[in-house]
Amino acid sequence: MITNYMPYPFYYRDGYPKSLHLANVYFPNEVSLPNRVKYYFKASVAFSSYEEYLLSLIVKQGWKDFEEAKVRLNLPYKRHIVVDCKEKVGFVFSGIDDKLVIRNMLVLAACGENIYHPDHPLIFSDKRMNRQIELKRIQLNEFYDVD
Amino acid sequence: MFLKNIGVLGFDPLEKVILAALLTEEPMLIIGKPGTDKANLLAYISQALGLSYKKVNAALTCKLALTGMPVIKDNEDKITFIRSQSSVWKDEALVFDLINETKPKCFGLISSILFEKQIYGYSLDKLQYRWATMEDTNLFNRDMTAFKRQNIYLEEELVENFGFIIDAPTWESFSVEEKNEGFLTGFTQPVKEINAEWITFINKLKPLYEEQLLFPKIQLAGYASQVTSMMNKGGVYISVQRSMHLLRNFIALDLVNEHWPAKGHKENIGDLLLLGLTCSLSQKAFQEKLPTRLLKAIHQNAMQIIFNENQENDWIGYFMKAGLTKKIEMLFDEKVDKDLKSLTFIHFFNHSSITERAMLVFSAHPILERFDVLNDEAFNMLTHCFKEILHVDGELKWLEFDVHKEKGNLVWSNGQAYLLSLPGGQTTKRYKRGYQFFIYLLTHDKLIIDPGYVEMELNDCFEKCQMILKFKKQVKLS
Repeated sequence: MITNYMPYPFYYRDGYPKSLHLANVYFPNEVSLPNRVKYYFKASVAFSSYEEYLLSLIVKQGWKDFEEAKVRLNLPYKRHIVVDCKEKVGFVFSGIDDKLVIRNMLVLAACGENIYHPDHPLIFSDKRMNRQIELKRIQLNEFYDVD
Repeated sequence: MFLKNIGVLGFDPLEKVILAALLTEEPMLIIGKPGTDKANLLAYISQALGLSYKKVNAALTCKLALTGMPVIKDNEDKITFIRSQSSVWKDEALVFDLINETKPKCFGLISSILFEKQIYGYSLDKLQYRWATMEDTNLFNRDMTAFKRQNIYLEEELVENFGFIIDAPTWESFSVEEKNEGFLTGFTQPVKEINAEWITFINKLKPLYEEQLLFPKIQLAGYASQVTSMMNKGGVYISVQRSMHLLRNFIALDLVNEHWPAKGHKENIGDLLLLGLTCSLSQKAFQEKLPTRLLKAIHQNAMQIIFNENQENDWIGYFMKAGLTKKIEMLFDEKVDKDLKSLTFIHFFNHSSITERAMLVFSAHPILERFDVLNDEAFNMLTHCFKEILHVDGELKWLEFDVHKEKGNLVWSNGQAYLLSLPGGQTTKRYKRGYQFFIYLLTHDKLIIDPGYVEMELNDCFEKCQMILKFKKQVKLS
């Protein structure tokens, strides 16, 4: 008599699927979490465009333009690797520290998907401004074990 | 050979270019003195290919002649055209004669037919070949024409859209045989029948061309990029669009040459590229022409860089064949142009296995970044991969055959066992990077069959980078 009875699960011949989660961060100069500098932006007040909003904050500080703000705030002047933060910051409101907001906005606008270019033109897009990132730079001597 | 078979004489040196233009289906501009049969060339070819053809005198035509009478039907938003014999809706090949003398009123229409294959937004589905002719600019405004026409140069933006731009041959460029043969057969009597050889050749190469457009040969891309940079540096403006035309033309020419019938004459790559270059530059449509000696000098220079004089041992080919440590060394070769290195690196990145490229990226990213070896595009690619290696977060999947006696992932345990056997234990850098690299590969579904081989190769790359870094430091100090 032929029945549809199957003595073993259908995947028995191919084995049982198993998986293991692997995660690791290889970064020799990794700093501890509280000391990391994160760049993010979220404003509580309404504004028409990122650029105008940033400019208004800069003017409020008594600075002329983006370039002056960059110099005053000591923004990183070398290329960095951009890494998206895994632990996202909840709510951050502007007005608490305008300088912090200016710094974050300037850095975010200069960050492409993978690289922070200090010399490239600033782009104030939603995609860039809504990221939460960290900037990292490899220390050559440490990475290659060279004195 | 092909052209002679259909009775076209004098175009022999440009035969491959013409076939390449048929392959690319991009508009071609033919420049020449009056009476060089430039406007009829496509007519003869269309007959051989069995295509319907029309020649339009751009200087004398009007919009209605090209489109037919536009009519708006009742209660409909669409315009239909009452077509006449002169309208071009159903033609498969079109030649616009004397395009530089087009009336301003017709210019929009003709350029949309030529470059967009459409009339007022209605596409010309059947249209394949759109060629145009213009008079030799050396003859401009010399009052040699009977009607004393005012010659006008073509707009630069318009010329940029043509693929090939060729010079029609004159009597001097005919060979002795052709001159005699021409009189014997009669110049104006080309063969008016379908040529199966032409159709087979073109149909065979078209899919190959489409394929190569997606993945062009690295040497051709390198040559196009080199030539563009050199000319722009030397003050000859080559637009981005023109450089793309250059590459497409080279691809088509290379294919034509490669599949040229065995009995015919195949050219070496150098001559072919020079031919492609001379027939692709837009400057000949204007007053200030490029001297041939300048073109040859640029060509020689580009050939030396890319093919390293000996055409078999080209730099790019050598890079692709070299081992990983050699590749790292070659990237620091200061004699080679940064753009060429970047182009080669991108090619390697797209055509190598995940293990190979990850090894190169993991070991060399920091020094490539610090010494600014690659351009932004290549560096972005490099960094994207580097980030993925530094921060691994993924699933390792496998099949367990016996649930009661779980063995785990054999590849992973094999890799771990090897890493633990490394001298120095788990605290060494070598262990840490080996560990990181293995989990990167495993979470990207890559099977590590011989962990020892992979790890040693990675370690070699790191040692090579260390050496380069030490050398660079010494140079800086001295």
